[in-house]
Amino acid sequence: MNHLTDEQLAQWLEGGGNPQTQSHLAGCAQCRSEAEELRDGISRYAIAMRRQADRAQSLSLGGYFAPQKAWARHRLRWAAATALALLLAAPTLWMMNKPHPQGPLVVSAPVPAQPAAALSDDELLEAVNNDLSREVPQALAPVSAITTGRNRIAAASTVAAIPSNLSAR
Amino acid sequence: MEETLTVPGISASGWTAAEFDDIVRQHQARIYRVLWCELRDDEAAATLTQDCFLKAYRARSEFRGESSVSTWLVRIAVNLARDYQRNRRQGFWRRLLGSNTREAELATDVAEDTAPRADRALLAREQLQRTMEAVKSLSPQQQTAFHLRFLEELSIEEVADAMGIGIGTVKSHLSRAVNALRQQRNKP
Repeated sequence: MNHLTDEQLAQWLEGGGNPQTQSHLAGCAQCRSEAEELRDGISRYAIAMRRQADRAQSLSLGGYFAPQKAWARHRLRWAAATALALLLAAPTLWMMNKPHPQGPLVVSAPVPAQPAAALSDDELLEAVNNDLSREVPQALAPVSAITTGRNRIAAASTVAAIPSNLSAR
Repeated sequence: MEETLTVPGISASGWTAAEFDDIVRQHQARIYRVLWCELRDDEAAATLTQDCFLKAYRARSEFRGESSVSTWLVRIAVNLARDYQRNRRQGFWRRLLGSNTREAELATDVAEDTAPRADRALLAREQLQRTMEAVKSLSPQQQTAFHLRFLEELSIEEVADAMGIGIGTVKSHLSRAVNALRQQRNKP
């Protein structure tokens, strides 16, 4: 038994086919099943495609031929892209322009903290000693400094005059 | 009296603004659908729908009324889709990235609405996937013929007119589509 050809099935799918096709389908369960399955598949495909297209259309055109909407959407996209770019660039710009409380950032070898603290302690101690040992009024301090300076120079020259072997004792 | 639309370089005869507005309103859903089925691209379908009506308006003096306005517009849309596909360089990647999602959506859609029970939903999804595979295996011309005949339900003559081909060629395309569907059905 010859089953239906593609052409005959296509004709039937297009709307019935000729009497010969009809009579074959009535008597052949295999062709009938195949024809019905193809018809159902096409029908489902058509429904799904129409639905998807209608959905896409309602989103794309907003119901009616509207070039203004397309342009507005285009501008909105650019605005969103610009905002995103600025958002991404903001931390970098902030880091670059961040004010440094101790002047501009200088990259250098780290300074050990301990000697700095020691120096500070020495300075403080010297200042306290100076205050305690001050024997002249504040107003006369410059004169006193000159005198002290002269005495130091004199003392230094005396020490220099002593032979090194004696000064080491 | 209604004002007639004027476009530079085109005679003012033909449809009035209101008439053309009606034509757009009546046919834009179909034109969008035809373009969307051809391209599977929302934005391109929207843009080409607008192009289609613009082209139709500009060429309205050429419309002789030998076919319906609908068929004439579909013809313009099919040609626009073909030009677009020819010029689209990035089409390969777009199709590659977009087609699976579309097909999954389509399959779910049909399974949800046309087959409420779980077993029927499964069957419907499988049937739809086979149909989609079969359609995908067709040439662009065969796909267009298939879509216009079975989705838009144009007659064979209208399909031939819209595609600018002979009736025999349309029948041949549809037979090829049926052959592809049968092959998919018989696949294990």
